[in-house]
Amino acid sequence: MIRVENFTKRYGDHEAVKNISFTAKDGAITGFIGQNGAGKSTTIKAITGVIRPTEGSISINGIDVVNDALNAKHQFGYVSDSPDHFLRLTGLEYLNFMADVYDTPMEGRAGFIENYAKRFGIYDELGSRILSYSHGMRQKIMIMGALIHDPSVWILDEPMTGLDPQAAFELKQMMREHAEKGKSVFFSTHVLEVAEKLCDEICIIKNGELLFTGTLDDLKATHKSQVSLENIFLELTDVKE
Amino acid sequence: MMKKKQYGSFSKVGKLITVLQKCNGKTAFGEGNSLISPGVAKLLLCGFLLALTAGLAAGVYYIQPFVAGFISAKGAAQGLMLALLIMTFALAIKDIVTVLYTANDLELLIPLPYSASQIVMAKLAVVAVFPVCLCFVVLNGICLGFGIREGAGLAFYIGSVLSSILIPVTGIFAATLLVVLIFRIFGFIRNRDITVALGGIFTFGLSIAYVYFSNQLHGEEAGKAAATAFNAFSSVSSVFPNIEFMKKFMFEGRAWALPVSVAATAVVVVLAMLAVKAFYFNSALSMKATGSRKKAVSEEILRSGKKNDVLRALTDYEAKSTRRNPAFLIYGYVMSFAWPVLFALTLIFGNDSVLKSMSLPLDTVSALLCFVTFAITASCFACGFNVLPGSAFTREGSNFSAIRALPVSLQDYYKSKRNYCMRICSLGSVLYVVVLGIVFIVTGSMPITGIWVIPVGAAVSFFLNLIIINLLLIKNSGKPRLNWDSETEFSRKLGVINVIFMVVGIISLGFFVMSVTVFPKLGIPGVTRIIIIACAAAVPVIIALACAVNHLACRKVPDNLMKIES
Repeated sequence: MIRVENFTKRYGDHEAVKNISFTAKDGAITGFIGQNGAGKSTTIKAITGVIRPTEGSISINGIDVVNDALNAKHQFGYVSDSPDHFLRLTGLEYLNFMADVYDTPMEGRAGFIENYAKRFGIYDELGSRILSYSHGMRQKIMIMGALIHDPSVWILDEPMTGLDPQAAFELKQMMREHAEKGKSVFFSTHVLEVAEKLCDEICIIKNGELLFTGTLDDLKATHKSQVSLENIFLELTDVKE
Repeated sequence: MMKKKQYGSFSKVGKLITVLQKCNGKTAFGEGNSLISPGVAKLLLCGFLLALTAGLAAGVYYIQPFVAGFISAKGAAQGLMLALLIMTFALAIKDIVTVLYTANDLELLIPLPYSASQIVMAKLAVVAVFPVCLCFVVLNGICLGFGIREGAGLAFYIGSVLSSILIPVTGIFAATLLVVLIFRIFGFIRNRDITVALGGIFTFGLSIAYVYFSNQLHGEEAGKAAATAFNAFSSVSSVFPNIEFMKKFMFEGRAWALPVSVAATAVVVVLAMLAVKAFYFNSALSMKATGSRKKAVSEEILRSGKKNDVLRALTDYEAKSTRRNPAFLIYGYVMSFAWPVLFALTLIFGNDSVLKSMSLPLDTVSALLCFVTFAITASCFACGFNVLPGSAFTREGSNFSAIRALPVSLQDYYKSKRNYCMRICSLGSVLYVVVLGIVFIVTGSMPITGIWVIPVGAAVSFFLNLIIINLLLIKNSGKPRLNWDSETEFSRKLGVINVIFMVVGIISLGFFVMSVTVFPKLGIPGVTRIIIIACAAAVPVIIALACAVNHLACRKVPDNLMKIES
């Protein structure tokens, strides 16, 4: 579970995120939706410990990400919006590096790598350097690296970007399976159709403020005039006239 | 009905060359939408080149009387041919990688009605335009000027004109051969990486050449010195059969040497085309735009890995990231190991060679001073020339935020950088101290009873490395620029701390030289006592300082990194 309470982030005079609170529950897929520059990445960076909150608190499975950062980081697997990391390592080296960092036992590592690499169709590329991978392949290897330690919380920032349809389907399946095991998935996306089909809960952010947090049914109940999440989102963010 | 224009094979390839020139960012003469017709444009270009050649020849004709005492037509021709060969070779490498591999147009070209050899020749022709024009103007202009002044025969002019075409052809095809073989063996290499590696090798070569020649020319007047250097450089051309035989044809009247010279060029062309036929298309087509050949892993490799702790994992990651990056390979590894070459040349080949002045065997006091000063010198240069610690966090770039999201303590992260830099710099310093000690013992330059100075020197070097590296890490952690524009630019940047320690290293080098030349002859008791006290004090001071700086770095670096929000 991810609990964000009164989280504010200021950069000098500019308030990037203003006093937001929400919970990404266990057993649910929570979608985080917002326009570009709304504060999604800032919020996710704060959850993952890359930046520190100016005010408020963030905890993962009850562990504060600021005061007990190392233990908190063991609770989640994070896939960032850019997969261009660790480019000089081969796919296998990267996965072993991630497994070592998360103190993953050797038993099961090879099985995980083989299983997921074949599922994503990149098994034959594991010996090549990530620098040689296409964008989609890099995304896949980053996803594998984030999940290799079987975290209870998945935090994914625009995970579908660059994935081919087969891989996107596989990932959605994996997210659903993970939530059904009673674990938590928190992901941001621009693709509202995916969010509508996949998410149990939605958080909508605009200009650093949380406009809505709750289930999709609750959201639709408050906007009966709109049929789709896309229309609701556009209405909430005042884009649609 | 429109009349269908038939193109011959030659003009068809010509059109391909024009298209490829535009696609590879080169100016294509005679474009369809120019103000003047393509034919006129090409004629004007030829006229311009001829005018330039004539102008250069006139200039050389005028200058020749002033330089006649220093350089002859033969020396000028030889030197120029060699210089142009090296230049076309070096410049062609990057262009050939671009047109053959990164242009990524093979899949479009192969279905067109061109043979494979026509496609390759068209690509190489794109690369060849500038070097051929340059060689034509420079070589013919200068040789013409010299030749007219010295009354050279017909063979000289024929050789000059032929060489102006054969030299760039040799350079380009030699570069093609090298590139095709490298890509076959190592897979895809980014253009940027090649540029950095070439730049580093070139800079290093220039530095060695400068040290060598400046020592050789010590004491000579400037004009004579330049001529001697040029003639020494020209003499290297005898290694290249095409130049050597062309020289025989041009200056010794041996008509048979001309076809031999042409044949030497032809050999390079044939070898290059064989390599292209054997390796190019397969390797180029199997690459994606960002790709190298796919490498699968076997079940065995998958299951054979061993678990590392976090610090070991981070250090391994650091090792792989740096040594697989050509920029850091040159500026982070090579310089740390190669620094003795620069000074060895000066010390050994200089007119006042240190080797001649050494007072061997050394007594214990001189040996102690020798090893302590050498240790300081080695550490200062191995760390000072090394860009790795000063850019430890900067070169993470976007990886920094990825690592921040991992359960990695910033202390372990700092330690991984420190440990790896210590490993590399110590190989370029501590190891050299030990090697020097072994050489001194084996050659009898130092008594066996003085063997204890070797571990003393090694310890001084090790702990001084710790000081320098920690200072550099503290500095870089304070303000690492994570969104750098040019990796190659910052990979060459040495900071203030590097420069300070390089200066300290030079001063210490002076003391080292004195320790093996002057001090053994002094025999003054007071000086001896001072040296013993200074060296005895230096060791614990350096160790204490190293521990203090290390302790400071262990706190300061993680604190600095914690404040960075990427």
